Amino acid sequence: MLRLPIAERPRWRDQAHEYGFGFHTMYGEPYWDETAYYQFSLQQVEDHIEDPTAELHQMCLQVVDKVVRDEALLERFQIPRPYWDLVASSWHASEPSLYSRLDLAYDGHGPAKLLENNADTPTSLFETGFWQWLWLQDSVDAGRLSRQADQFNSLQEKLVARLAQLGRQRPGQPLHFSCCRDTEEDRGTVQYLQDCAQEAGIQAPFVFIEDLGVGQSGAFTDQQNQSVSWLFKLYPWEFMLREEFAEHLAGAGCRWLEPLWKSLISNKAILPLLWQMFPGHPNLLPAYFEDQLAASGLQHYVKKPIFAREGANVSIHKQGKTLLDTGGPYGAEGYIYQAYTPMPKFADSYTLVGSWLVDDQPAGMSIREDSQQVTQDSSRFLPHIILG
Amino acid sequence: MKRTRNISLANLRKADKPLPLKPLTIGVMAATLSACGDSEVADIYASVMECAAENPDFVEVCEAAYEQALQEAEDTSPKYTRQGDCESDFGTQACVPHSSMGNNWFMPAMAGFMMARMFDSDFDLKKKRRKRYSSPLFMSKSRRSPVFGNWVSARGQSYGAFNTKRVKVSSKAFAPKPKVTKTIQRGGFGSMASKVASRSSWGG
Repeated sequence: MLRLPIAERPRWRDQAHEYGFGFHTMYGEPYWDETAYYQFSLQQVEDHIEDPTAELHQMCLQVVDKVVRDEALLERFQIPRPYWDLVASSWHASEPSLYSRLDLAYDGHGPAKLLENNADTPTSLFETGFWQWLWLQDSVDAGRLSRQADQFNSLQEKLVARLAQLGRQRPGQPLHFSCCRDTEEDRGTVQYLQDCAQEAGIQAPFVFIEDLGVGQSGAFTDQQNQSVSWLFKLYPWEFMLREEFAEHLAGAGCRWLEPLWKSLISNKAILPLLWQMFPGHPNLLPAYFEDQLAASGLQHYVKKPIFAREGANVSIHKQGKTLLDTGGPYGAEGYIYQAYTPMPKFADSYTLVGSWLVDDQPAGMSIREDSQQVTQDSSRFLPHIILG
Repeated sequence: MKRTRNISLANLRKADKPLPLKPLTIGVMAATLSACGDSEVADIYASVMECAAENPDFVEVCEAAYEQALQEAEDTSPKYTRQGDCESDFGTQACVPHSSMGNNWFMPAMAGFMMARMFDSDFDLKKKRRKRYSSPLFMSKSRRSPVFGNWVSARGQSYGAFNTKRVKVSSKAFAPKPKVTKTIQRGGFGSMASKVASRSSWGG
């Protein structure tokens, strides 16, 4: 695993405009960064990223199967009591999932360590599935990269195939797509998924999640008063279940992407559960709930809120001293404690590997860099290749 | 190869079609089938007269098909709260007011209908076995619409350009789509997001 400098494609900003990639620069800082790329060997990708990703996902499914049957655990996972049955029934009905992204600490010398699982609302999908793919294509064509260069990135192909498969189970039914108003990045991600759905032969209308209505029959409706019976949302379940509108969930008969049971995987409480069920697994870091921390003997750890977005309210502690605290509005639902692992450092940046799944199939990789150890939404996205 | 083999760049290009921030009603989707299988042939007519002229022995069937389509159009066509939104999808003077269950909406006027082709000796028998054999069609006269000049169903499926006369469709094409319902509460999700802070993403 190497970090190598490379010349930028001269026209990439025009091209970004052409493909509707407007958020390549955010808050005045570059978000998409192609002044360098990461190079992996095929063995690193397959043995250290791809296989562990498939295995970690299966382990997470086992945790879900345990939690839905245990009220004390549902409590620990901070699922509001009125929705316990809905979460459990979404699991027992095997409601299908579309995608997930595992965040891994990996420096090229395995084993990769699972930091968290973005199983509900993973973003940076367009950048991974399409934009870095195009970068590789262009860079090879321009002779800046070897013709042998490949990329761990079958994300778009797998998304289209998965959507086509789900579409066959619901023939003729539109799949609505939604996200919040005034979120340019999310709107871009959702548009990309709409494009994938259309390629899969599914009608893909859009509705802002704030504009959902409830019809007389109890079903959700869109702005045109059409019923919404199958809905993709880029908005976290942990928020939705705490909002008034959630009282309509039970009566709406809507199928969701991601399904409700994913709220148990995107939940940081899964980290102590994984460690409890698979202690010593090479891809896991020791993790504990608050009441287990003292007995664990953990001295150097990262304290993470059970629910938070993009690295907020994360702090690093060592022998009673706080080394870093990102601050933020979260933490009301409690915290978990995960053993500290140093973040791999390349050049002056800390590097995080995102490993994607479509349903249960590993599907690609994204690399993010940040100037500090906790990756936030100020981080930069860099492309990667496989060579050798 | 560990990457996507081929990506159709044209499908992802957005430059001449700005990112739609307004919800799109009409998806462009080819509804016609080329392969065999669970499909049947249907004729497209702009009016009862056109249907009757081509099927002089079945004038009353044409009339019934028209009535059935008209009724379904009332129930299932896209409904807009603003005339302008309807017209931006279907064109000026292509929309009509529509009131139902206390809502005042605008909907595209039905531009024609699609009728399953079954004019053979046992037509009456088939008709008895089958409740639905016609479906309303709309046409967009808005150059801004992705289905400009095309026949589209209430589902937003495109059945080809305005001069299309006969199509091969899935037999599901005649199944009514879910009835447009009166929306009794609007508000949706998102209230937590507005409490925390404004940002460009709620994902992670």
